[in-house]
Amino acid sequence: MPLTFDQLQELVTGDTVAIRGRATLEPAGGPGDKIFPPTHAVDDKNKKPGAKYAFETRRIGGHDATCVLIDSVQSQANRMEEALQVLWADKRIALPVVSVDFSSIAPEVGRVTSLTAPHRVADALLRDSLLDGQLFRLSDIGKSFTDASTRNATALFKVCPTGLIFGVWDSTGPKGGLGAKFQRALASEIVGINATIGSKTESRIDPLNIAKQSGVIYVAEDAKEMWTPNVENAKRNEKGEPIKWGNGEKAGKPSAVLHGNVTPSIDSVGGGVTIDEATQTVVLSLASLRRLGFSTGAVEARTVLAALGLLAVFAADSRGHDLRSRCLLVPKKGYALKLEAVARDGSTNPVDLDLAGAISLYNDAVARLPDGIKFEKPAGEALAELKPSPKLADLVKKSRELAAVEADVGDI
Amino acid sequence: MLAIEIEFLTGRYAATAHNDRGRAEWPPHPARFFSALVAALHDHEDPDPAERAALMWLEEQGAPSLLVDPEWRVGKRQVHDVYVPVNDITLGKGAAVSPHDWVAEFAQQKSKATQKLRTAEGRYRDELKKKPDTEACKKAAKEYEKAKRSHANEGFSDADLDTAVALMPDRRTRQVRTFPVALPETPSFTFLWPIADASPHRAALEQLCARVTRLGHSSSLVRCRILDRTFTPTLVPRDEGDVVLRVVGPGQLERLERAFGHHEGFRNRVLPARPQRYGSAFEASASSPAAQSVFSSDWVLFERVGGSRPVASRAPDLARALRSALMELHGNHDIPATLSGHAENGPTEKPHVAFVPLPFVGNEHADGALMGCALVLPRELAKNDRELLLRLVAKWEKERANQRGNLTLAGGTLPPFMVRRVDVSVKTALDPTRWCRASARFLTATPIALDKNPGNLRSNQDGTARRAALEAQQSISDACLRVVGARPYSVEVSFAPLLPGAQHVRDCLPWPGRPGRTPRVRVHADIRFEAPVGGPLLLGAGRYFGLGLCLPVEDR
Repeated sequence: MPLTFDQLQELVTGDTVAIRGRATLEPAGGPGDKIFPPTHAVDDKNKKPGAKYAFETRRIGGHDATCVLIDSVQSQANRMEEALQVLWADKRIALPVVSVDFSSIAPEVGRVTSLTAPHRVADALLRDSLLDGQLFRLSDIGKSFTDASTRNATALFKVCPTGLIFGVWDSTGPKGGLGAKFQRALASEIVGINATIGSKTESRIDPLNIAKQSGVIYVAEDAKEMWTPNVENAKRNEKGEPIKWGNGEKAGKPSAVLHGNVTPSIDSVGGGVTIDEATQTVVLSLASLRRLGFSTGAVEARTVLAALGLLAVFAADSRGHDLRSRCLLVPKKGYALKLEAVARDGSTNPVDLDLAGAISLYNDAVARLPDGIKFEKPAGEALAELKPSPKLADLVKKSRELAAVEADVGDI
Repeated sequence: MLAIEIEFLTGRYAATAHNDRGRAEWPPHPARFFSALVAALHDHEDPDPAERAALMWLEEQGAPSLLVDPEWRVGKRQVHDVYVPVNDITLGKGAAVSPHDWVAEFAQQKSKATQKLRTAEGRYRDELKKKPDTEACKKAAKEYEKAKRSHANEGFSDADLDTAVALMPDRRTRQVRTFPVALPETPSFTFLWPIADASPHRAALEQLCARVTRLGHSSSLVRCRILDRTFTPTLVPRDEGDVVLRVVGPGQLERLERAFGHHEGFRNRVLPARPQRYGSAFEASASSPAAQSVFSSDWVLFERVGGSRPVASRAPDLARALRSALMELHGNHDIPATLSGHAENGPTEKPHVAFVPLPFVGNEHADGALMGCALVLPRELAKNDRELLLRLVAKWEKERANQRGNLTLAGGTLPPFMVRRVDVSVKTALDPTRWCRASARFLTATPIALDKNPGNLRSNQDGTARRAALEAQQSISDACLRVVGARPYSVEVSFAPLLPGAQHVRDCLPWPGRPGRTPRVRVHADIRFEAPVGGPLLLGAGRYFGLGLCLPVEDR
C-alpha cells in the first residue's frame, strides 16, 4: 500500500527517527564492467595504481572488503536538487526558486538558481545579482531570511525549503559568520563493493600520419587563420622573430595543434575500477525536521519538508545514475530503491512509495500549508527572477572574450 | 545504570580525529556526544530546566564505558583532499549599480582607458626617439604595456575580471577540505555508566536523546535512545589503557555555554575536555597498581605557542621562569609551602607543586623540543591549596596575557617562551596520561640530579667508576622509594640519553647553578620495577624543576 498523506504526517509528528532507503546498483554494461569513480588530486610522488580514487575497507560478512566511493554525499545532494528543478520547470511541483539568468551573457552557464548554485540561496552569485534594481539581499525577499534560525525557519522555508533539507549557511550575507545556518537532514551516498583497480590506455593514430618533424607551426598574422606552417605568414614579436604556436616543449610542434600521433600509454592511477555491485544508502532524518521551529504551521511545514526530501530521492533515482563519463549505474533486478521507517528502538517497517506517489504526496502537503507559510508562486514560476548585475555581465563578457583569444587550440 | 545507544543511520561515522585532520575518530569520544546533548538542550530559546539539570547531573558521572567495535572491525576510507566551492567572492558595491548608471560608468571607464593608452603610447614614442635603452625608456615601455592591457580589458581591473570568472558556478574558487570516515562493522554503539542512577533525570535525558540527530559531521546522521537492558562493555576507563578518549567532567555544560559566547558557532574552537585512557574490558590486569607516585595526574597544562624553541636541556630554566611568574604574582606574603617548597626553616618535607617542562621524546622523530610545561600537583594536596593555585593561575592569565590569551615566560638565560593554558592538547608530549600511566619500566627524559655525590663516575680507575655507579643506582633507588613507595629491582645509569630526543648530560646546564651551591651530578637512568608503578615519576634533587622526568615505556 503506497504511503498516504496521513501516514506521512504520522511519521513526521510521531516518534519515527528517520526514513532510510537502500538500493543495489550495477554498471549498465553488466556486472564486471569497468566504471570510473570520482577522482581526487594525486601527489606526483604518490602515483600508485588507483591513487586517484577514494578506496575504503568495509567489514562485510565478517571479512574486509575493498570498496570505493562512487558518489559522495555532496554530489548526491547536487543531483537531487537538479532533479527537483527539472520537476519544477516541468510545472509538476510548486517550489520557491530564486533564479538569475546568464544565458545572454554566458550561454553555457545559463540559468543559475537557488537549487543549482554552489551555496544555494546564500550563494555569492545570487547575492551580487539584482532584484528590481536592488541587490538581492537588500530586497524584501532577500532580507526576509537573513535572521532565519533553527528556532524560526519560517522565512527560509518560504524562500528556499531545499536549504532546510540539504543544509545551508549564509556565511557571507549581512550577518557574516552569524548568518542562518542549517544542517542537512538528508544524506545519500553510493559505494562500490569489492572494487579492483583497472587501467586505461591512451593513444591516437593520426589518420593523416603527420610526423613530429614535418614542420614548424607558427601563430598566424591573420587572427582568423590561427596557425600556419609558413614562416612568411607568421606573426612576429617585438624583435621581429616569428612566434611559434604553443608553450614550452610543445612550441612549434604539430601536436600543439592536435595533429600527429599520441604514443600509447597505460594509466593505472586513474584507470577505473571493476565492482561486484554498488550500494546506495539514503537517510532522511525526521528527528532533524522536528527540531526546526516555525512561527506558524509547524506540522504542515515539516510534512512538506519530509515529502520534499522523499521526492528529491525519487526524482534523482528516476533520472538514472549517469554519474559521469563511463560511470552509468542501473538498479540490479529486484533491488531497486526500497524505503523503511526507522523507529526509536531501531526496528524498521517498510515504506511503499514511488515517484508518482512522492509527487502527489508533496503536492498534497503543499496544498495544506496554512496562510503565513504558503508558497507564493505556482509550479514552474520562480519566486524571484534576478537579473545579473550589469557590471558583472560586462565583466563576464569581457573575460570570455579575452579567454577565447588567449586560449591555445591544443591546450590540454 | 545508564546506557545510551547510538545507531549510525548511514552506516558510517564521519568525524575527524581531534589531533589529526587526516584521520577519522574511532571510537566516538564521549565529550563529543556530550556536546551534541548540549546542542539539543539549546534547541529552544529558553532551555528546559529539567533537561539542564539532567546534563549537569550527567557531567558528574565520570567517564562512561563503551560497547563498541574494536579497531580491527572498523573499516576506514582513504582520506583525500576534496575541493569545495567558496562563497566569499564578491564584486562588492560595484554590483549594485543600476543598468542606466552602468552604461554611463562603463562608457567613461572605456574612454579613460583609451585616453591613458594614447598618453602612454605618446610618452613611449617620445622616449624611443630621445634615447632608447635608458631607464626612462624602459619605464615608459612598461607603462605602455600596462595601458595596452588595460585598454584590451576595456578598463576593467584584473582583480575584477578574476572575481567575475570566479563567481560563475563552474569556475568557482575552491578550498581544500577533508572528510575522514569510519565504517564500523556494527553500525551502532553504546555508552554505559554502570553505577549511575538516572531515575530522576530519565525523562529529560530521553527527550534530549531524541533530539540528537547527528554525531560528528552533519552527514553522520544518528538515532539515539536510552537503553533499559544491561550488557557487558568492551572498552572501559583504565589508566594503563592505550586508547585515549576525550571525556567531560563537572562544569562542562557551563564551560561549553561560555565558550559559545566567544565562538558563536562559527569561529574556530577546541572542544574543552580531559583525556581519559581506556583499555579493553577483558584484559587480565584489571587492578590498579599498588604503588602510586606522590604526584598526581592532575596537571595544569601550558602549551607552547611561540617564541624560543628550547630543548630538554633547558628544562630547569623554563621551570624556574614558570615558578617565578607565579610567585611574583602572588606577592611575598603568605606563600603556601605547597607552592614554594619552603617552610619556616628551610625546604618542606611534604611533596609540593612541581614545575615540569614537557619535552617531545620517545618517538622516532623526537627532537627533545619543549612543547610546553605543566604544574604537577601532589596527590595529597589540600583542597584549599589547590584552589589557591588554580586561582593564582587564573590571575596570571587575566593580568599578564596578551590579547590573544598568550603568556610569556622569560628569565635568566631563557629567551621569551610563549605559552597558553590548555585543557587538552593534540601534542603527545602534553598528554598527562602519556607520563602518568602505570608501567614497570621507566626511562629518563631529563637527567636525574642525584641527591648525594656518588663519586667519580668517569674515573679511569676501574674500581672507582664502578663503585660510583653503584652509589648512583642506590641513590636513584632511594629516590624511587621516596616518590612511589617501591624500590626498583634494576637501575642502569648513563650519561648518554636513553630515549630518542633526550639530551646528553653534558649538554645540560649545571644544577642548581646558583653561586654557593654545589652542582649535582646528573645521570640518565633505565629503571625497572617488578610490578607496574603508577606515574608520574619525577626523581632526584631537581624533580620540582623538571629534572628527573621519566617516561613509562613498554618492557620488552
